[in-house]
Amino acid sequence: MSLAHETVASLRRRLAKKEIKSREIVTDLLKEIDAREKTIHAYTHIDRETALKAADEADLSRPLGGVPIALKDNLNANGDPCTCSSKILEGYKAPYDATAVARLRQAGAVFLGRTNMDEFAMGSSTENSALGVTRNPWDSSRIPGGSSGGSAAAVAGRIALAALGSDTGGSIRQPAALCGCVGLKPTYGRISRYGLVAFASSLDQIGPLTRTVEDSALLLSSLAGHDPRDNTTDSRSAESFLAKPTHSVKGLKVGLPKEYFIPGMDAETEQAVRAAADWFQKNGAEIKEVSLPLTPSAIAVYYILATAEASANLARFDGVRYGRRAADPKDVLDLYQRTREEGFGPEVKRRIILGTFVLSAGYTDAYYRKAQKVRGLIRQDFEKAFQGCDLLLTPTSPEPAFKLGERTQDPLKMYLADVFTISVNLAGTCGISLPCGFTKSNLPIGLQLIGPRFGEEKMLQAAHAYEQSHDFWKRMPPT
Amino acid sequence: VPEVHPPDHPVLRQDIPSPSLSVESALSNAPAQANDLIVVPKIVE
Repeated sequence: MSLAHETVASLRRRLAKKEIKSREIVTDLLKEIDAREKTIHAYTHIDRETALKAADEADLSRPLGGVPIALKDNLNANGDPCTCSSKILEGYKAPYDATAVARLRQAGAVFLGRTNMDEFAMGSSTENSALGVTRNPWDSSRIPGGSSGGSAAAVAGRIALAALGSDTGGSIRQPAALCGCVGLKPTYGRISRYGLVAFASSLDQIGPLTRTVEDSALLLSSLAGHDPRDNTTDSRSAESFLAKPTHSVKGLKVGLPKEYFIPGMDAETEQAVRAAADWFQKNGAEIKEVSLPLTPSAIAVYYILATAEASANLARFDGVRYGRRAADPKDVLDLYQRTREEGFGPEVKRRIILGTFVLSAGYTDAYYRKAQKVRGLIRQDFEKAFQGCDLLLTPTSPEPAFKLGERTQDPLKMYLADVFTISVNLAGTCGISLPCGFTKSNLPIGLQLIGPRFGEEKMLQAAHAYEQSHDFWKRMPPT
Repeated sequence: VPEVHPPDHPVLRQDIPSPSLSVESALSNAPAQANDLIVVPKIVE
């Protein structure tokens, strides 16, 4: 069997025993990439020689020594391109490492390549990439989800063992659900955002996409911890997650938010998620219905706050210091206008315009400040829910992967793809998506477990127990 | 705004100068440069 089909944890054990070499893993992955990347198009950049050289030099005594990992194309890695799948960053090469990248490097990881994404992480299907669409390995006529669609498709398609993504409103969990892999959105402040190209700074969080929960915990253990370069990171020291895995969920109090089982959601998705809740109950967990009453407001709040922050964060792309510059500008205003007109795609422009509007004089109180207040109430909803339970259990996405092109002309319908994930970012808590079944058409269905702030350990334990009692994670896509 | 919570664990680093990007690194992505400076269209007529 190709080493590309194994998990990070199993390969780490084999590397430590010197049964295999890191170069063999990279070589097997490159063979799989040669066979399937043309169909999936998960990567924007692959540096074969550097990956092989890094594999030869990897320190196998480190926690991720010799393990190849792919990076979403919005994370700066010194000397590598970082395009955010945008024409405006064409030719840009990162002059430094993001803290998350530096920590993986320090842990001995080998970087395989850069993965495709919706431009500046704005989207739920990876169709907004200026570098071409990524296809779902389970059905190449369908989207892989987004915005970390390249990372999810690479992991699910066995052309990466693990990848980093970023999650502002569900961009790790939703593609993980649609591609049948594990996607972890850690608590806001768990992992440093330094070196992540900012979309909405109060919502963005870096996290791993992997095949198993154990692999997710392994990566999180290396990534987490305070960083003086990001003062929103937590001061508590990094933990070793899932160091003592359990297969029991006995005594766990699991809440089912009634607002997450809505009319019109896909019947097979609801059935699979309710079956997962039944499994928890049969295995000793206490299931109770809870309410998150402000859930229907979450999308509106998100698209005010996220676009407001994006309009400020993306002001830096003006053609002056880096990236694309419009040819022969007549003055500096012409330079700004034409650079941004030519460099940004339609969805990015739409969000910058919306964000600028909600921050403009006369509208700030009506939209931005009101949305901030509702965000505070959404957070209180979660705090109240977690007073009576340890975890929340929900679907990750209201439906499985939809067809390419199906929603590109209807932004509002596209925004609904994140209806079950957005509140977690607004509340700043942690969430994980893992496979919980397949539709009759053989499309993966994702289960979301949500933990309280800094409640990753208990959430990972429960996710691991569920995953290891089922074989969904072992299934291979046909592509 | 009472409903908006500050971050749970704000941690401010010490205000101590530390090395930043070198001029060479900072200019490495500049679309146009000369004499260790980024070149832009003139803004004063």
